Amino acid sequence: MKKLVILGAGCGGTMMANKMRRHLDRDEWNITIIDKDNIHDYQPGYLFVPFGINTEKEIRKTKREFIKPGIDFVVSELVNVDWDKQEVATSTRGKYQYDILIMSTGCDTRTEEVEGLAETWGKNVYGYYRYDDCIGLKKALAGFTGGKLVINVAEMPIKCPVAPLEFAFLADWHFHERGIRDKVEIEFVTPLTGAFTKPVATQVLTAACEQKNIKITPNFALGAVDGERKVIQSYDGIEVNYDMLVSIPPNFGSQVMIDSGISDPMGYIPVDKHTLQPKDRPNVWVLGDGTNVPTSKAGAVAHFQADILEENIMAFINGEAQHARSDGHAL
Amino acid sequence: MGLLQDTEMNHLSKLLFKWAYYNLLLAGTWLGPPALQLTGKRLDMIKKK
Ligand SMILES: Cc1cc2nc3c(=O)[nH]c(=O)nc-3n(C[C@H](O)[C@H](O)[C@H](O)COP(=O)(O)OP(=O)(O)OC[C@H]3O[C@@H](n4cnc5c(N)ncnc54)[C@H](O)[C@@H]3O)c2cc1C
Repeated sequence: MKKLVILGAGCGGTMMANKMRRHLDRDEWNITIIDKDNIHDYQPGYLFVPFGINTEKEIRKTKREFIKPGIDFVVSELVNVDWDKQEVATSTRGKYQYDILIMSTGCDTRTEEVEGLAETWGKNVYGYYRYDDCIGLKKALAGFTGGKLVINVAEMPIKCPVAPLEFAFLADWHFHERGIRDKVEIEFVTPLTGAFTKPVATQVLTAACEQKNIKITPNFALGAVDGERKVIQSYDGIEVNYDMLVSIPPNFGSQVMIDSGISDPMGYIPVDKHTLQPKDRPNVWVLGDGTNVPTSKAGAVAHFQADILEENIMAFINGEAQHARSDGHAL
Repeated sequence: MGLLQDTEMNHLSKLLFKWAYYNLLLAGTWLGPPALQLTGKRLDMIKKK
């Protein structure tokens, strides 16, 4: 029996497992997907939880329910990935050998990477890039009756780069609904040169911010958070004060990739940006937020990458040339 | 450009995307090729580089 192993049962891993099960003969290929937990969060819904638009029931499901029959689902933390031995190790379920490996372990926030951020988290600094953080922010927003709300992106890359602006717009709406918009100042502080990464989008989104009275402070590389004084400081000494800070901390790839020595220092796996394969690893593919490719870290990108992988992996198995090329599109 | 506008339709589409995510995307359904390969791109700016 040949073995296809998939790391991560989030957005990319689940799509790939279901796609490949359709193609591969069950008598010939065993498919195993490994994840550290059985909770599938619909991450775009994180944006709406703090404002009471989405509930836990709507955006939190089990991973198992999206994985098709005929796929083994293993719940255990990955602790090592060894491309030379073609083997991955888990904390509680032993080791798994593979003939083909697909990796989609995503990325996550790291508050400890910014001076003062972890210490202040939950006091006057909140976030919404993890479910529990959304709940904390929801409570804090409900108790916020006026003052300065600062939304800050610590550094790029982050997943869903437009989500911080979406949050700013939703906050504007939320305070209008509560009749306190005139008591709230909203400032969007970003390391980018403007509201967004692309010129056309920046133009439109800057105009939207102006119309909503949201101040944009660009080129701000976050150095530290001082929760006592309620200020964020940039590396070059600029300070922005806040009453409530909504922070998007640095995003890192999965720690296991750093520990296994197969990623860059931020945990992102270097791959060819068109084939999504690490150098000299013909039976390994990586998709989703965990790669170092210069495209948005978005589920929509993972979706189109999955189409490329599906075609090329089948070509690889059948000994044919791999023609499909990823171009990073999200739509 | 329509995708960037502050409209009720855009907001509703964003909320409806949840259904597509659970029922189509995660199931690995092929939804056709990317639609926006060139749409909305400032080709003049790309050429200048
Ligand atoms: C606030 C927010 C809004 C967003 N909005 C959008 C949007 O509107 N449109 C869009 O396209 N995308 C959006 N995204 C991004 C989208 O959710 C991600 O790009 C997508 O989930 C990436 O898929 P992935 O498979 O790479 O990672 P994930 O879906 O995050 O899955 C990674 C999986 O790997 C597992 N894992 C990691 N490390 C280990 C380990 N050591 N052992 C075992 N398992 C491990 C995790 O448990 C997880 O299940 C948003 C994200 C956020 C946070």
